[in-house]
Formats: sequence, structure tokens, C-alpha cells
Amino acid sequence: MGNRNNLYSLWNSGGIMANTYVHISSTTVTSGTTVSLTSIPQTYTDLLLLVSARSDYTGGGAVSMAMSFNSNASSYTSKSIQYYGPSSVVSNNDTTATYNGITGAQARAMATGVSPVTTVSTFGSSSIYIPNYTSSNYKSYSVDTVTEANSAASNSPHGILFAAGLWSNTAAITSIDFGIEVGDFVSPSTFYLYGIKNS
Amino acid sequence: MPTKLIVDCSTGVTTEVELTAEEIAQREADAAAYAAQKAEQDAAEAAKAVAKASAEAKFAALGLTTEEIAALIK
Repeated sequence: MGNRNNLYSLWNSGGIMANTYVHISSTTVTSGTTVSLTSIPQTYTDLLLLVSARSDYTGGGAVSMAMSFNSNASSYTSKSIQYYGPSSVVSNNDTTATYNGITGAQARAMATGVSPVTTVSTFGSSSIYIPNYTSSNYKSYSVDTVTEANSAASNSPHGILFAAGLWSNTAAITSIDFGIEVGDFVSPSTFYLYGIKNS
Repeated sequence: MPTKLIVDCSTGVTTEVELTAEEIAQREADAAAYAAQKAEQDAAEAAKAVAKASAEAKFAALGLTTEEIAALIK
């Protein structure tokens, strides 16, 4: 092995990238109704959550979640645009929702329900980006979500959604809770949390 | 028994906790609310589809072609 100091000039010229995108936790949910990610490290600049989820609800339709920061139940607003079914496009102005005891931002259509129009073993896929989660400013976040169904039925839950949200609170985010709208999580619903540094 | 999952991101330890009676009651209320909202949404979409078909039939009776109706509706 060579001397690590020999890499100094290469590092400072950008030849070796710093480790800016770090995996924090992986959670696989086999059942249950809520997931709480606690004790989030405060050492990153931004957070990225990748969620793959499915509900066992049999009534059909894409299932939403409530997402709260620090178990706080107020001061959430979001705007979203959603395209689902054969041609339905809707815009939403959301505040808070309470699902399975979690009161927080309404994160629409983040899990796919089970129904005759929903393909077996398809899951809703979402990415949630939270910049500057430790700052003393209000916290913004963005969500993009797709739900699958492989069906053109009018009540098919497949679709896409983009949302921009704000939590009007100056506290650093140390925990994130999710409550599913209806039904239980189906295995293997997953929650992957990453920390991103700007240096 | 319904459960909730708590993940400690600093240690990686995951704990599965059974819901309390109060949480179960909330869960049942949420399910009922969701079913009502879904039924309302389905009824609205069905009514919209019926109105659309009716409008198309009326346009056709006026002599519009299928292409002309599609151009108007979309």
C-alpha cells in the first residue's frame, strides 16, 4: 500500500469524490400500520427517503400516508398534482391528515391498495427529498410518487404524483413518522433513508 | 394484533409494538372515512363518464363526426 498522503493532490483536484451520499437505515415492513424513523443523525445537509409500499386494503385505489416530522401534528401545507386512471388530472392543496394515529402532512398515493384492478405484488414507489433538515428555517420537502396497476380500468390506482410541501417549524428534523391511510403494510414494503452532504 | 414499527436510525434497532385500544379505534375510524371518500370519488367519476357519453351522443345527433367530437372534448 502506498502512503495515503500521496493522494492529497488528487483529492483536492476533484479526482476522488468525498462520500456525500450515505445510507443511514433500511427498514423492511412485514405488517403493521405505522413506521417511525427515530434518532436521525444530524450530520448531513439533506435527507432522501425512498419508500416502496403496498397496503392489503381490498377496496381498491391508491392509498396515501400521513407523514409527520418530530411527531409534530401541525403546520403542514403542500400542493400536488396527480394523474391517475385513464385521464384524471387533479391538483390538491393539502394541510394535515391523520392516519392510524399519525397526524402530519398528507402524502398522497404512496402505497398501492389491493383490489381486482391492482396487479399482484405491485408497490407504490416514492422519493421524498428534505433539504437542510437541520436548519433553523422552515422545512420544505418534495415528493414524487408512482403507483402501479397495469390496468386501464377507470378506478385503476396506477398514476403519478408530484408534491411540494412545507413544514412551518424551525426545529431540526430528528424523526419521521408514517401512518398508512387504510389497511396494513404488505411485506416487503421498504423505507430507505439516506443522508446527503454538500461537502 | 395490529402493530407499529419503530426504527432507531442511530443503532439500527427495530422494535415492533402492538397498537393500543385507542390507536385501534383510530385505525377503524380512518378505514371508515377512507371507504366513504372512495365511494364518493367513484360515484363522481361514474357520473362524469355518463355525462361525457351523453354529450358525445348529443354532438353526434347534431351531425359532428367522431374526430370532431374528440377535438371538442379533449
